Amino acid sequence: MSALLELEHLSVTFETPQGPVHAVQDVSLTIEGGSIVGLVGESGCGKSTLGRAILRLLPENATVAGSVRFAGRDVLALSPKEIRDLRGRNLAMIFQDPMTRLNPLMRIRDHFIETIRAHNPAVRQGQALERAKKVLADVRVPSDRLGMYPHELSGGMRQRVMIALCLLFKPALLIADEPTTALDVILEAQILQLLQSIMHEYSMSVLLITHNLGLVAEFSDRVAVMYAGRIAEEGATPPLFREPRHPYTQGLLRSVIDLETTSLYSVPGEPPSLLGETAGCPFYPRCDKRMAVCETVYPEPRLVGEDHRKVACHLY
Amino acid sequence: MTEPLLEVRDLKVYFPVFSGFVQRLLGGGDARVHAVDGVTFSIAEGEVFGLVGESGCGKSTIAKTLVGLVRATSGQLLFRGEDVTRPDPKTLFRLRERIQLIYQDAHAALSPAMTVGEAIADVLRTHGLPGPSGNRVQTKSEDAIREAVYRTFDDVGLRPPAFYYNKYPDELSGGQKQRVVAARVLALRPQLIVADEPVAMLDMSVRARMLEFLMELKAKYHLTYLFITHDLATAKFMCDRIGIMYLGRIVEMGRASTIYADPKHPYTKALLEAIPIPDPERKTKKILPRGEVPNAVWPPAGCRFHPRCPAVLASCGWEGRDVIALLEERWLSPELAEREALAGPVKEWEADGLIARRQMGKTDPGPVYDLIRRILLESGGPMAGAVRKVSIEGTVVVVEFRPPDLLVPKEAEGRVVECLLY
Repeated sequence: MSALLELEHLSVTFETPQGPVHAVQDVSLTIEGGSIVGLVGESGCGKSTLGRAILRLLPENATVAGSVRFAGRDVLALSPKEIRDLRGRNLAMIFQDPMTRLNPLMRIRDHFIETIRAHNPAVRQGQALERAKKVLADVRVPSDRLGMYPHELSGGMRQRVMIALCLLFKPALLIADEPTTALDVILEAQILQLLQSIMHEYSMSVLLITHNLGLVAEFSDRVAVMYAGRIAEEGATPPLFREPRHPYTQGLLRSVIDLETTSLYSVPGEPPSLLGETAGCPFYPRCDKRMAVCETVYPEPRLVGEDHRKVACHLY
Repeated sequence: MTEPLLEVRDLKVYFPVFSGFVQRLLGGGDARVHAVDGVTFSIAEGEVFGLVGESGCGKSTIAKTLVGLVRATSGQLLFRGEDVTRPDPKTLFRLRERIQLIYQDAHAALSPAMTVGEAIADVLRTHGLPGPSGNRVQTKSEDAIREAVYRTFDDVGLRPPAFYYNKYPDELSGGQKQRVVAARVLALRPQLIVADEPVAMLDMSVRARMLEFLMELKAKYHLTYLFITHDLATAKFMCDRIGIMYLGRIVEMGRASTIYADPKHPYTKALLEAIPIPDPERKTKKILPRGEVPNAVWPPAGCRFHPRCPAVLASCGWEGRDVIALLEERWLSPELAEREALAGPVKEWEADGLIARRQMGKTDPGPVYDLIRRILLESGGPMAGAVRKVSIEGTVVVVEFRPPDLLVPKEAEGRVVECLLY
C-alpha cells in the first residue's frame, strides 16, 4: 500500500465582507490506494470545502495553504491545463444532486461524448459511444438511456450516470460528496453497494464525504471526523466506532438515533462560527470534559493508542 | 371505546398531469398522479401516529389534505366525528385552529420581513385569543395580544420573551427559529399537530433536542401528533403506532413496537434492512429490492411493490411492462444481449395492461416466440408462473398474464398488512 493522496497542513480561507472564514484549518490526511475513507461531519464543518480543495474547485475568494500531493504530484502547483487533465482522468468527483450536475438540454450520450473529447479530442463519436455503453453496463444502466435527457431518468439512474461519467478514464480516486443524501434509504444502499463493487473492479479509492455516520461505518475502511474546519479524530473505522476518543466523536455517536436508541442525547450548544481567528479547541464551549488549557491552546493532533489513531484533544 | 380524534377513510388524492393538447387528443387525458390511493387510518387522542415512507409515497400529501391545502379526490376525513373532507371556508378557518402543521424548514416557514413577535401576534389578531373553555375571544387590545405572545414565547423557552419579540428570523439560530414556529402553532391551542419531517434538516448532534422538545410540548398541552418521516429510527422512538406507506398506500400498520419487533410486509423489511447501522462490526451484505419506486402516474397492477419484491408470488400483479423490465435487466449483460438480439431491442416491445407484445412485420415470429418462452422460464421466476399464455397472433408475439389475486388489508399477528403472503 502506498499513499495515493496526501494532504499536509491544508487550510482554506474564504474572504467575505464580514471577514475571513476559516473553512478548513491545518488538515493533514492520507488516503492509501484501494481504500474508502469516510470524511464525516455536520453541516458547515468544512468537509465539502476540503473535497473541493483537493480538485481545486474552489471559488476565487478562497485562499489555499499547505499541500495536496496526489500520486506524488503537487496538485496546488499544477498549471490550469495540468489540473484540468488530472480532473476526470485521475481524480473524479460526484455530488449530492445529479440533476444539477447534468445539463438538462443535453442528451445523456452528449454528456459522454463531451467528457471523452474534453480529454481526447480525436476520439470519434462511435468509439465514444462504445466506451459509454461499456461503463453504463458496469453501473447497470440500460444503454437506451443514452438517447434520453436527464429529466427522463429516475433519481437513481441519474446518479448512476454521474458515476459512469466519472469512470470513463478509470480515475485512481473518486471524491464522493454526499452522493446519496438526495436519495431514499433503499436507493442509497443500492448506490453504495454499486460504488463498493466498482471500486474493486476499477481498483479505485474513494473519499466518501457524508454527514451520515451509519454509511461511514458500513462502507469506509478509515474515517476522519471533522469539526469546525479541523479533523478532530482520524483512524481505522472499527476501533474508532468501538471506542471513540475525541469528546466530539463521542457526543456525535451518542446522538445518533438508530433502531436501538432508547434514550435521546444531543451535544449541548451549537457549532461555532468560523469567522475570524479562534484560539484553543473549537469544541471547547460544548465539551463536557473541557479543561482550562482547552480554551487557549489548540490541541495538535497526536497518535493515541495501539490502533494509531490521530486525536486532537488535550485529554490524550 | 372513545371516538378517535382523527379518522381518515379510504382517502384518495390524485393530481392532474398537464399533458400537451395532442397527447390529450390521443387519449393521454386521464393521466393522474395517484399520490394517495385509498388510505385508511385513525388517530386516538393523545397518541403519536407515524406515517413512514420514502419520498413520493404520499405522506406529505396526506398532511396537506388534513389542513385543507390540498383537496381530497374522494374518501372521508373526520375530525372528532365531524366530516371535514370538503370544508367550506368558515369550517376550514376553524379547523386550522385545531389542526396545525409544523414543516421541515423552520426558516422557510417564517416571513423574513416580519419580526417573530409580530408573526405570532398576527395569528392571534386573525383567530382571536384562546379562551378558557376552548372557545376563542376576539380582541382589539394590542396589550392583550402582546401578553399572549409573551406567554407563548415563555412556553416554548424563548426567554425573556420581550427580548425575542422584535427579532427578525434572520437574527435567530436554527433551534430558536424552530421554537418560534412551535410558538406560532401553539398560540392557537391546537389539538392535533401534523409534524412533517420536523428534524430532517437538523444536524445529528442537535436532532434529539427537537424531538425532546416535541415530546415536552405534547405532555404539557395534551397534544396528539401525526408524525411524518422517512426515518424509521426516529419513528420508532417517537411513535405509538405507525403506518408504512408505499406509492400511495399503507402497506403495514400497527403498534410501532409490534412492527419493529417483527415486520411482516416485505417492503417494511426492506426499509429496515437498508438503514445503515453505525456499527462496523455488524457489517452484512444487504439484500435490497431491485430498481426504484415506479412512477405514481401508472402505479403497478396488484401489489404496487411486486416488481421489486424479494418475496413476490405469481399472483401479486404481474403485467406486460414487467416483461419489458425483465428484458432490459437481462440484456444489461452484453453477452446475453448479443445472443438474444433476435428478440430485441427492448424498445420494440410494447406493454398494454396484462399484455406485452412485439410486432414482427415480415420477420418470422416463430424464433422470437421460442426465445421469449425460454427467457421467461429461465429468469422470469414467479413472473413465469403468472403467464397465461405466450402466443403468435398473425405477425405479433404476445405474452399475456393472468389477472392478480384480490389484495386487501388483512389482520395478521396484531397489525394490518396488505400482502398476499398473509
